[in-house]
Amino acid sequence: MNRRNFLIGTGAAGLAAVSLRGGRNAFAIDPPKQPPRRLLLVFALGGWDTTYALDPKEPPFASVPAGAIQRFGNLDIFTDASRPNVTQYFERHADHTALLRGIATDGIFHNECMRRIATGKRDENQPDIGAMVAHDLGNALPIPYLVLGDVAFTGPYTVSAARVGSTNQIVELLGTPDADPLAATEDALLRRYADASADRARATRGAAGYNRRRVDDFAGAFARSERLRQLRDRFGARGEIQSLASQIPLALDALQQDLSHAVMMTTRLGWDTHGDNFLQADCHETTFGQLTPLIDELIRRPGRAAGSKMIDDTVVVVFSELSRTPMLAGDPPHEGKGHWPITAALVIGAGVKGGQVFGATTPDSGGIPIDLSTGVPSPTGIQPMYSHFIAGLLALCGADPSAHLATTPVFDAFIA
Amino acid sequence: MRRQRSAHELVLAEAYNAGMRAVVVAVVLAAMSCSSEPPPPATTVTFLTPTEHLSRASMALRGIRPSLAELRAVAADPDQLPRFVDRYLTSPEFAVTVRDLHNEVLLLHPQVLNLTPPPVAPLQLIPFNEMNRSIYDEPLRLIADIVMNDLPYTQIVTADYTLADRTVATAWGLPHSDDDGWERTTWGDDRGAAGILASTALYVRYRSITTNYNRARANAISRSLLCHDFTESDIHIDTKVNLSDPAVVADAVVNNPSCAGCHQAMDPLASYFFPFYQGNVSGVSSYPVDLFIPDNASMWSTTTNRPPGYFGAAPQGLAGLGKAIAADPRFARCAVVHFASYLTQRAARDLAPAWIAQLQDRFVHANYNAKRLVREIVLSDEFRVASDSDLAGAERVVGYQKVRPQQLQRMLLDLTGFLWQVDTDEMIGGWRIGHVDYLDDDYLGFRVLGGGIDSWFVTEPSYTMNATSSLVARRAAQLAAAYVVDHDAAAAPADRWLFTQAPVDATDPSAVRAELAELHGRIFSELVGPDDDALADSAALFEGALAASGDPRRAWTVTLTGMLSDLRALYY
Repeated sequence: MNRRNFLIGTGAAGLAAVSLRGGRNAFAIDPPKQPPRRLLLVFALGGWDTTYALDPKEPPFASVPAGAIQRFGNLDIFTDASRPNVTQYFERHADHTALLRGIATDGIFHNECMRRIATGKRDENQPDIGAMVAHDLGNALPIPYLVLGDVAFTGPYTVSAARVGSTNQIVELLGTPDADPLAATEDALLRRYADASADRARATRGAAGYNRRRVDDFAGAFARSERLRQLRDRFGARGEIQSLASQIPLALDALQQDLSHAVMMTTRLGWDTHGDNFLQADCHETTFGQLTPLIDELIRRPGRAAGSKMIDDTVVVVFSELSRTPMLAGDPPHEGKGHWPITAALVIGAGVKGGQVFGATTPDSGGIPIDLSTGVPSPTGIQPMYSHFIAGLLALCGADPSAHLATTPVFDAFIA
Repeated sequence: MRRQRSAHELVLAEAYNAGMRAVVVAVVLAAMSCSSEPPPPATTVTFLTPTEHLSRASMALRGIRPSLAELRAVAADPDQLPRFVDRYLTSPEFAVTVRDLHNEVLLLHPQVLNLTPPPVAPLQLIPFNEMNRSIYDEPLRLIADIVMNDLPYTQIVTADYTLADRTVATAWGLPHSDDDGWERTTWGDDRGAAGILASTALYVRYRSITTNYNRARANAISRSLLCHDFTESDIHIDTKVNLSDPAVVADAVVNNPSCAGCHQAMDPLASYFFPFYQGNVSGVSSYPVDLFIPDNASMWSTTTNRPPGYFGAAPQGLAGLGKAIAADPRFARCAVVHFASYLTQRAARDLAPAWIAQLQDRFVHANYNAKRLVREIVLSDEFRVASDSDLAGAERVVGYQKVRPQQLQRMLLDLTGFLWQVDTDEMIGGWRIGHVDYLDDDYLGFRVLGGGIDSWFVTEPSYTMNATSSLVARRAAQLAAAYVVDHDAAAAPADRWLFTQAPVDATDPSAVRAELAELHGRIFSELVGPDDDALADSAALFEGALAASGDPRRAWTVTLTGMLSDLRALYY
């Protein structure tokens, strides 16, 4: 047996029954449909080094920071006293957290991999997981998909999405509560005028197809923007969304108050450490330092059903489009790591088999075929890809993967 | 005795062939284009009326609406339309459109701090936006200069000059008269006549990390000039390769089949760009700075070991590379695709191949005259299509084109004299931002929120509306409406922007309808009379607003807000 066939890091997934199936697809017998769940996405743009916490490795196969493997239930996490926020997160929330390892992005370019890991597809103009879930499950809300971060792919569901801007510019567009007694009357007149225009268009050039969707989007966008203006107080002040810490309260409020069904956040940290890879420690600390209160809040805040909490109906996904090469390169003390096409993700919250690892990598961070329904390495399984990952998230959130990804096998091992 | 090729060699050859297939396809398509004609449009398709067609052409080419005189002339004689298109093609607004179009291709307007040369002497007082915009406008200005002067489009990669304003000239040390504005100038070194390939800004925008040896630059050029994106290749990354070891990578990109397929073409292309500085420009300490370092030209020999080459040929230097690209059939086809895609708001993959082939053929035979290409596009059935009564066909017809944020800015300026802008002391990374055009800015403005691109995170425009783009459109309309009502209230009749048929205090129904008819023509490109039923909704809006406030100026402001943010204003 060579070292590539020696499987490690399978964690608790190894305890599950091994299946020879490569994963479900649209033609397989479907598992019970999941209830509709809300979605919070945290995108670590730039490519995180999974050896810092999520996928422990050892020399000589990888250059790793100080630390040791620490078990949190069945999660094996690489921790160190110098990274207390990572430790604290798993101490508090490991039981809500599934760790997915060995997801292949099949590329090493940021933009391509961002699109793939977010949408499950290679093609341009495809909606990302937030846009799909929001469209399918929360399209009646004012802003089904709220984009607080920098990157989102809205594709055909653009009308269901809203960006707040890099410095929360949306606040300026929403204006201030209008003391002018005429404003409401004039707004109603403008709405009527826009609707009449749309109706006229539908009767002529906008009767069908692409044109019809543009007209419907025009009218729908107007209506959604009016509802948004009623919620102006929830968007804080200009410049307030620069950090993940300031995005989280907005995101939680947006879900809790039924403004949105899905929210995209970005960490806005320098994960792309081609030099000074040690900065990954700060990135991990900052991110996990915010994830802990995020999950705390989901546990504290009321959910949709009576007596429930948000954690019971909300899924959190923390992911990155790439990871980093196992080995450092460059000159001391500024050694960095390049892009690596096998990454990991955290899936947290409602419907998740928490406290378990699904998927695996080789000692030198290569991919390993798994059974997608168990997460267990299998010689008859398949390499988990970004598409399988997104299909699994769709299923977890209660959407139909086949509606978006056709016959793509569903990586659903992490669904309870 | 003939040696059998090993399985490894066969796989490698196949991978290489896959990489070259795009070249062959392009050549075949070019050859086919001589004999193929696009099929006629389906009988279920309807087209824009001549005045609607004129309006779409005017918006697509200039970002402004046609004048009433132009509309009336075309209504009276539709054969006049091409004459107006020719006029639009010589307008300064078309030059702006050419820059916008190529920015969507080259992605040169990212408001990113570490991609912007810093404010150091003698430019220590320059605001961020001014530096950022000038530096990245340079290659776009060159392209626009070539197009507007009817030079062969191939000169975008072969020209022996560029354009500079004072900022660009100061930063890069280019000859300049010190007058305001942009003027032709030349690079003072021996980088060669290579058009935008010689542009320092292109390489500031596209940097590769030191050990990636200009591959990002090579792909950016291949993607934007040849429509060949190496990163979209359908390959599997071999994780047995230690990507952190330059020696291992250097071997893999030659001998590993999953790597070599792309790298055999990409790495020689990348080797042309070693002379351009690969570091972060934020370290620049004073100007002028020369980021072209000829001594680095041979660094390929100690890194990738791939001499400069272009898909199997070996043209010399950037000038040779530019000529090779210009002669590549993919270049002409890619240019046609970019123009056609931008002007019809259709994705490249949705453009009819036969139409593109025909355009390419004529483009080449017209000595790569871009204005003639654009003229042919905007006069085509593909451009003037309105709808399709066949439901399946209706899915493919782009009968509504949406204004881009920059077009909205120009349209509002042309109609009302209003420019949504500010000079601000707000900072980005400790650097004063300065002038902001709200519809062409992402940090403080609303370019992305309005559906545009930021050239960094958002690289595809949105052609539909959502809540934020609706808010942007209405806010811009509201501000423009208030501005023009105030302006026209104070201006002499001859100096008014919009209120030429009635003063802004008019409430008399006949005067109001006369003015509304004027506004329908100016804003919607609809030629209607004061008694036309088409004015009913606009008249009702004015009457309702007047009834609510009793203030005719306020009523006109509300009415104009509605009209300037209407479907007929935001789509064309």
